Amino acid sequence: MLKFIVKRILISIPIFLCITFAVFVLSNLAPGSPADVIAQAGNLTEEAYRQLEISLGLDKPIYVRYAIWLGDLLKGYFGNSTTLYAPVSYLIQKRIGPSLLLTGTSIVLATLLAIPLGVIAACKPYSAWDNASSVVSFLGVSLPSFFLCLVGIYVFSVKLAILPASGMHNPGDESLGDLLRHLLLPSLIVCVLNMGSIVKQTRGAVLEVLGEDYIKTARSKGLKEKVVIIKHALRNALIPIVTTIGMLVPMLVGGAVVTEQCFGWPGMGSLMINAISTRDYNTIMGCTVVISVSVLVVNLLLDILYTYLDPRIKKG
Amino acid sequence: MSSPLEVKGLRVDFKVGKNKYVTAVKDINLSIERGKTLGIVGESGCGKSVTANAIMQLLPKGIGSIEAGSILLDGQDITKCTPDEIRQIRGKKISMIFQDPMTALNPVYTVGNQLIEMLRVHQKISRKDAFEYSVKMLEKVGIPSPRERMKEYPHQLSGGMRQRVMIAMALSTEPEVLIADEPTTALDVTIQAQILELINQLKVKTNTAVMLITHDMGVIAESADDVMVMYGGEVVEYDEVVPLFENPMHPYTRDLLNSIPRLDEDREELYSIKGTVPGLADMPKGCHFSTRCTECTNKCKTRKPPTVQIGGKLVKCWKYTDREDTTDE
Repeated sequence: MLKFIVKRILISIPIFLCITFAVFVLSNLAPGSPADVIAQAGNLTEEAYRQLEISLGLDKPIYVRYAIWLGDLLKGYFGNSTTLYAPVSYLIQKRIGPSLLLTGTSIVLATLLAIPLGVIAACKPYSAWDNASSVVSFLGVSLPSFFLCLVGIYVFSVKLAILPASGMHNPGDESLGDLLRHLLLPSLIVCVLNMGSIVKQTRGAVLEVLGEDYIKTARSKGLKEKVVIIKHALRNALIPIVTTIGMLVPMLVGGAVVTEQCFGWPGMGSLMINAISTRDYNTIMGCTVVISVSVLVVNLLLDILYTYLDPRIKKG
Repeated sequence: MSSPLEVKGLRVDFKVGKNKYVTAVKDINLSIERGKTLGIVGESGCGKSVTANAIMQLLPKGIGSIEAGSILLDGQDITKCTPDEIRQIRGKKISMIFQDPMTALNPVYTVGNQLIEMLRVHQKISRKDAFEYSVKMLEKVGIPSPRERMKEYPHQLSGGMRQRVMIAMALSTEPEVLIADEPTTALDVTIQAQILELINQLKVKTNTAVMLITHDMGVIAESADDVMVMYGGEVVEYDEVVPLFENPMHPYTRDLLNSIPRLDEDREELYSIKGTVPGLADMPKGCHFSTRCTECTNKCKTRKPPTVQIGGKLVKCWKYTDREDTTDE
């Protein structure tokens, strides 16, 4: 097992380098630079602009800049934000909590709702239940998130006026109740958006397993249908379901970009969007590092989890 | 002797489309005595497994249904039982083992877990007692170092061992009837004989009635006391095993016996019955076997043969009767 983990971590290193290099090059090739953004504020002379470029290190070729950035990263230094005038590590620290809270809540909600829905749909395929859950799933997957956000705000904040439309707290109110009230609507929306794929995956996986011989064995043993479904069918269907949920985890760290924007939620998503639009290279790269590391870690954890879910998958 | 299992006039229909049904098996009559084996033989698609699944009430929900007849277990008609009552009969009074032991055990649970589960569904027994009893069962079916095997997963065992586990599981609740649906088909030839021998031994020891489904006449010769030959969803011949082999009357039974390769004859090519079993929807109007029968007459093509009793034998063929009527219809 240890050998397996070490091997996987070693494989992860080149993957990590590829991801960060690709993002670094792409964001640097995009028109405009941090110098341009800063220059917009005041009228800079050509000479002053060049000085600014040199101080930001933008005069060097891309690969040299990447090497410098990587060297800094190894020392634990993410650089400073060129527009927010703060260290990137501080910005991420401040933003990652709210993101984890919002997306974490919604993933837990989505899992708790979607798995039972998927199982019920699989037990009665092509029934009214199944069709209804299909329609809801497809709506969730295909509706644009900003649309759901706007509908949610219109109904619950404007018309019914029971939930706040923006932010994490009312000014001056730091209580838990206030936080939960702010959290409810955006987390429900993120939940609905992601539930569909889990429902569909659960339905498909359970339906497939229900056709297996050992399900017939379980029934012929005289087990209750509930035990047949949950202990024998769902347990075998868990791998694709867990994978689907695992795929949502990067969002947990990266934040639900659009929903955070709509609700003014101070998470990673909005930090990243602002960083991109202001060509804030260091912040973009900082977010990239956090997200890609979390993806790699989740993948490793999933692979370890598989060996527990299915004893046929060899450890090591 | 009492018959723990008796089936009378069983008919099963399958739904093939909206309001479209085909009859999968019809007029099935059988009974098995304690400690005896009834062999059911026929090609694929003759309704052997459907009969077994109907008895277990494990027909696919919403597709297959029992349309007529009764299944008497100790005199109680289980076609009239509620799903809850059926659940208590399954595994307790009738157990079943399946064709492919590689897929019949749940891959994510240990052998022990699945054995203990079987015991604990049907009786109040502690986990520890169930464990010890399961170890004993594994020992009984000839699994070496059973205590270690309990902690292993199905994929760690060979096919023969897994079938032994299935047999141990099926017999652990001391059922009255054991249905074995092609229990040796997926196994190595050398293992086949061992498994059959094991079933035969345990049948006698536990006084269980066994229903053995197979398409292999050799298996029948080795294990069965009575034989029921099925073709196209119907019983074409029913007799004790020795007279059936000595004096097969139905042309289909004869063809099946002729298909067994013999060591004492030097033949270039093996005998085989021409054609295949017709689909359920395109069964001929008269005798179901008429499309492949070498002795087929005009009467066979248009009218259903009656079941004729000759001594202890039942045979469904026009050859053995002068009657012109079709009593079965």
